[in-house]
Amino acid sequence: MIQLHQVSFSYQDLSVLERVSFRLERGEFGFLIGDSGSGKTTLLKLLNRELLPTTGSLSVLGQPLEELTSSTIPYFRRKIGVVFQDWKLINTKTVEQNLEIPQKLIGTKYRILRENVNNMLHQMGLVHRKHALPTQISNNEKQRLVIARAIINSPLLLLADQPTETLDPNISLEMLSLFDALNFQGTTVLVTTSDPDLPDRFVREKNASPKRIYKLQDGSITS
Amino acid sequence: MRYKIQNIFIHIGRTRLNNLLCILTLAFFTLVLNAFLFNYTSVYKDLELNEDVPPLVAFLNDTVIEEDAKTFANQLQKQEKILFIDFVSKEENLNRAEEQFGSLAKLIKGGFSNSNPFPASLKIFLDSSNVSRKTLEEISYEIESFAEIDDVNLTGSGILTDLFRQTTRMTIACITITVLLIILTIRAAVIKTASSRHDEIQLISLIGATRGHIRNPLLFHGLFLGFFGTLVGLACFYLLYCAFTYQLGVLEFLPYNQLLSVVCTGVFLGLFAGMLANRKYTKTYLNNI
Repeated sequence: MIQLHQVSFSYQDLSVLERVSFRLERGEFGFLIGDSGSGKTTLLKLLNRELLPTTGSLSVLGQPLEELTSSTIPYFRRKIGVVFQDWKLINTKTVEQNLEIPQKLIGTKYRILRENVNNMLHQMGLVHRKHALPTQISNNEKQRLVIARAIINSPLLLLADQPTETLDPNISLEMLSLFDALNFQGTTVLVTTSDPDLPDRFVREKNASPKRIYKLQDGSITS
Repeated sequence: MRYKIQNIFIHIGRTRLNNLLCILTLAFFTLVLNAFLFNYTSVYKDLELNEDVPPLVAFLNDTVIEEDAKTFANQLQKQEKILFIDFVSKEENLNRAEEQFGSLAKLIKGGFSNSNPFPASLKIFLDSSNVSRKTLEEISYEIESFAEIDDVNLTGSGILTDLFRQTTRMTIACITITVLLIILTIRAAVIKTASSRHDEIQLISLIGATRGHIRNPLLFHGLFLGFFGTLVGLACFYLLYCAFTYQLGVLEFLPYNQLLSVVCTGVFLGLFAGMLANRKYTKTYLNNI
């Protein structure tokens, strides 16, 4: 599903990732733990083909990313759900309209789109906020909206960049349970976090199955 | 497809004031362009009306007899820049005056004790590609220096040809400048609108928007501005034409084909500027993600 082999990346002279190699199989749930600035976001950007590695090779969903062309990248990205660290919500659109964007992009029929959006709003507890603008909702609600937007198209792979960072500890675990449920349905999940205890706490408190954990330190995978 | 179309309207409707200002600016440029085209068309029409009129008419001295005058005309015809010369005798000129002035011609004739006061003349046609006012004057001085010639007149047609050349030059320069300004204005307006929805464009490109999703709104925005800008410009020009009909006299409004070509050019330039805006925006703001 995800395979990185000796991947390095640097922004001009600044090396961010150094010979990173790891594998995440289809249907697995993985945590990528690392301090701020360790290269977690850059790694997710590489996996979404926003960036290309300086050296090394990586393949996602069985697709070597260096082989993707500018015309095939959009179709590749449609198979991936991304929870962006900075949310990337459109402040001029309502919660409901924000949620419609991924469905509209893939050309979902209007009736089905309405159904999917309503279901997702229910699932995320955002029905009462559907006409509100992102600027009018709380951080918790924003995070739920971002997650809803990432999973509404039932992606094969979910990349979540520090999705629990702004949430209360209890709600964080609720969110992870949601990812776990999605993973149970077959979606491969990779969650980044700067909290090293989060995976254990999640497994312990939510009685979840053990997850694969990778630690990213100074641009390299240490365990 | 539905989203693509929706996205286009969302994009265009995003910066209304920006669009309005852009359309007004384009309308102004179109107005200026039309004024030049109008001037050009008017001069061209005048020139067509005077097509048979020679640019120069040389009047012969009364002392020159017809045979000598014809021989002189033949010799003169061999000169550079002269296409051909038509000899008009004194009688022909008198007859023409009688036709032109009717009963007044008898009075003129009477005033000259029934002798013919009109001189014989040479209608001088020139190689049209070489005619400028300066050239006309030079040829005229040259011809005037011959003893057989009394006087040489530059007709309206000759001056008009020169004016036409100047008008053509000015119109081409105006078109070039206007086209550049239109492209730059539309490009700036489209980029401004795109940057105002940068968050949305960036997001959709990250979650699977195709090139068409990003490019089409920018292209159609350019097309929209080009179309409405030229349309409003033409409407303003028509209103001005109506307001100044009395002062303009017999001058007709621009022909339909010219109006249509102005609108088509506007649409084409809009599309082109949209393409340039798309290129610039994708490179600068999206960093080709």
